Amino acid sequence: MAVKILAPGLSTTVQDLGRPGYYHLGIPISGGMDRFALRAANMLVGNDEGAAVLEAVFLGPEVEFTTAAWVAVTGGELPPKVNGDERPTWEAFPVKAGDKLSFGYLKSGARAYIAVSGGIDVPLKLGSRSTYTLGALGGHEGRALKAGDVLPLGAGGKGGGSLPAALRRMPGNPAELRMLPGLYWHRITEAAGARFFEDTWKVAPEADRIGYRFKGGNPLDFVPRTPPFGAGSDPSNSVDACYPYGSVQVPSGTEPIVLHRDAVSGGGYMMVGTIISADMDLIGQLQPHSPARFVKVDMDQALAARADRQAALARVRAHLGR
Amino acid sequence: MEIPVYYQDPWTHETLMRFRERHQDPKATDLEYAAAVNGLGTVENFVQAHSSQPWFVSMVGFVAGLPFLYQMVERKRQLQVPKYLRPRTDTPKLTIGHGGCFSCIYSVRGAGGYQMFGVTPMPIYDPNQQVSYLRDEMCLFRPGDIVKWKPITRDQYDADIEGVNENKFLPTIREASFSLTEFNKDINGTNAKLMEVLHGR
Repeated sequence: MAVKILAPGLSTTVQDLGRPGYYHLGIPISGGMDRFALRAANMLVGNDEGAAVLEAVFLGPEVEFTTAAWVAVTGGELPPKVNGDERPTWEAFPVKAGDKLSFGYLKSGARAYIAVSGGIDVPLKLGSRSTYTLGALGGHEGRALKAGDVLPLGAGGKGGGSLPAALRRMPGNPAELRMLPGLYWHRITEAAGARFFEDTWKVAPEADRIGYRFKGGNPLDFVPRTPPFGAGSDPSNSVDACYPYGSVQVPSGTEPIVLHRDAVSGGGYMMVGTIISADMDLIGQLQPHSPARFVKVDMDQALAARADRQAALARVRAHLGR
Repeated sequence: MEIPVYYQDPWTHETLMRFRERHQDPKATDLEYAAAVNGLGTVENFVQAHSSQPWFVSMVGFVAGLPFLYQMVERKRQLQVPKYLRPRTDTPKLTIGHGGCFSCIYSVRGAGGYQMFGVTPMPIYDPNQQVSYLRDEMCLFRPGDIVKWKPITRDQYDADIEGVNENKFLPTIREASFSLTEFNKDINGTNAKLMEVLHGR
């Protein structure tokens, strides 16, 4: 009961819903960048929503099954093929022992979630199977997969069903990322703050599981200050502090960086705010050069968005009878 | 905790030379620059100032198990060095770094913007929990820990690495109580007592 990796794709890792509880030691929460898609993939193959799956970015892997199983591919539109025959995304399909799963070219989005019934059964590390590559922790040997790796599968899981487009969630064009302004907002001028939300930004090539960099908007103007002791002299520096998941730092005031699932947990750059948790999944589906806007929200709107996302997941569960 | 440091080691030197165009002073090393901006004249003086008094772990993070260290001396004696102009894409594992008023130990190889002063032979993070003193916890440091740097030579570094490879290396760690009030009243006296505890006297 295993999955053999024949070709790894660009960077394919084992991920589940993540590893909360150790961020205060610099160990990030990790887990799928698009957890909505990860949960949906698991539901389609009859797994627990938090079972470990494969997260493939931009380019799919090629894998062989040693056992019959159900498979579902969700998230970015990365067309799966079984022994060369195309299969639908967002729909469970069966495979037999010896079948090979490969992928066509990515049509939209950035990350595909490949769930297999029973789940990828790598050992739990600090309560999670997610891979944190920077810290060589979790997943398969703490790293992205390589050809020749063999991943054990858990038992159980019975697949079936599909999710229509109306029940999926993918970013718009431009992507709208809702942000709650934060503790350091007063450091930038009112005009700079207004422009930050008016500008259309583009995802920079430096976009990975640690963080997504955006470029193309106006540089921020800072309110003059005398730097406090321990902060650097650049106006974008702060006394080193904790960085929340989703926080938006702007080194030198030029290119905002949104920290994601493998976030660094602290450092010396001021943060203009935090992307609300409901929209973090969308960032995981952005390719370099895709346009995005930051949309200002307050706490009530952020909590309402969280409730909306829970409701969307509840609709998926109801549709699939889970 | 006593942390051995091989200052001016060849590995951080090779790395800092690779990223010279991102530095404020491309003609100097990170230690020469740090000595100059703190008015200490020589690298030897800077190493003395860096390693003679203890440091307090104020935060753990950035990457897994990395301690941020706050120097336990009067404000006017605290060493301050700006971060690199643009962060490096590489830092050797177990580099002793410094940015603003904080020193740190890079627990893993990766990006970084702090000045690089040396390396320690001693692992401080082990995701596989095989290192003898990291079997219970992957990360050595917790906020509130107190660190004293111990400058070592290349020969001592090599001997320590051999100990680490054989999993026989044991760091010097002692329990001590710390009172901020007493520290603020008498910094040198408090530090001297901490050193007595560390060295078992």
